[in-house]
Amino acid sequence: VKEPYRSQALLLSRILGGGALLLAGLIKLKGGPLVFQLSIESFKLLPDFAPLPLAYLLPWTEVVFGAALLLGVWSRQAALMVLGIYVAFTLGLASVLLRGISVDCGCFGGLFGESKVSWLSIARNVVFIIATSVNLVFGGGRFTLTRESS
Amino acid sequence: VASEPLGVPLIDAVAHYDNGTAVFADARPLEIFKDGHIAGAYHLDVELFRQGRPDVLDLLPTDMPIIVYCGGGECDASKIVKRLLNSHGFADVLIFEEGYPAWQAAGYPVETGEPAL
Repeated sequence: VKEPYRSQALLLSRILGGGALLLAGLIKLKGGPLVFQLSIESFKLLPDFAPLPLAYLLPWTEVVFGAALLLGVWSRQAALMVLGIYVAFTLGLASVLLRGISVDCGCFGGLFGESKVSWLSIARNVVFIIATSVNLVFGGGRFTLTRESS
Repeated sequence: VASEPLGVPLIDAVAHYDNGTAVFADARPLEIFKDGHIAGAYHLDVELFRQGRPDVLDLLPTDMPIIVYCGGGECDASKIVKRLLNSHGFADVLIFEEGYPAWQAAGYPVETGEPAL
């Protein structure tokens, strides 16, 4: 794909993947750690000691790496971290569905109108995974804060 | 979440309701609440807490129990809301574990529509 369309496409994928994760992190921070801790616990996936530290750590991780990808700061490295977070969340969602547990998603503070985890939640995450994978492979494009090698 | 106490059975929840000795909080999503809930219950689901401190907390009493319910069965929402209420200083929070299906099936008062707040 020729410039400038290439960089515009890469910017769009950064907005999708990075912007969504940044938003998710900010929403979790607004709700406070207990709300997120209880959401993690309701997935019944992790050992008892894990939800509390994750509830403090993960929202900030989402904000930092989501913002880095969105703004184009070391886009490939940021995309790798963002991709890892999306894949982990998506596996968690799939696990809940396959075990037949009814869980409040809480993924984006109800922004997408979903109350319970569903296959639509996974489809939405797959879109973010594809967008982030594009940045992992092709970088952030020209409209970035740090100089990128293509 | 699974280790939370069982809370009040239907007969005690009804007694509290009839005597006005507790208020009820519905922990189910808003769309489900609007389709039918215990008459007079407040809507208080986890989504409200995700936006910060819910305004409805200002309406809840501190001198009587708050009975939280959801859809019965495996539903965890009431247990989650109980812990969130505890974290906001509401100490006397009970869980009506049989939830709305049992209340409705027993023919006790229900209503539909938007929450008051």
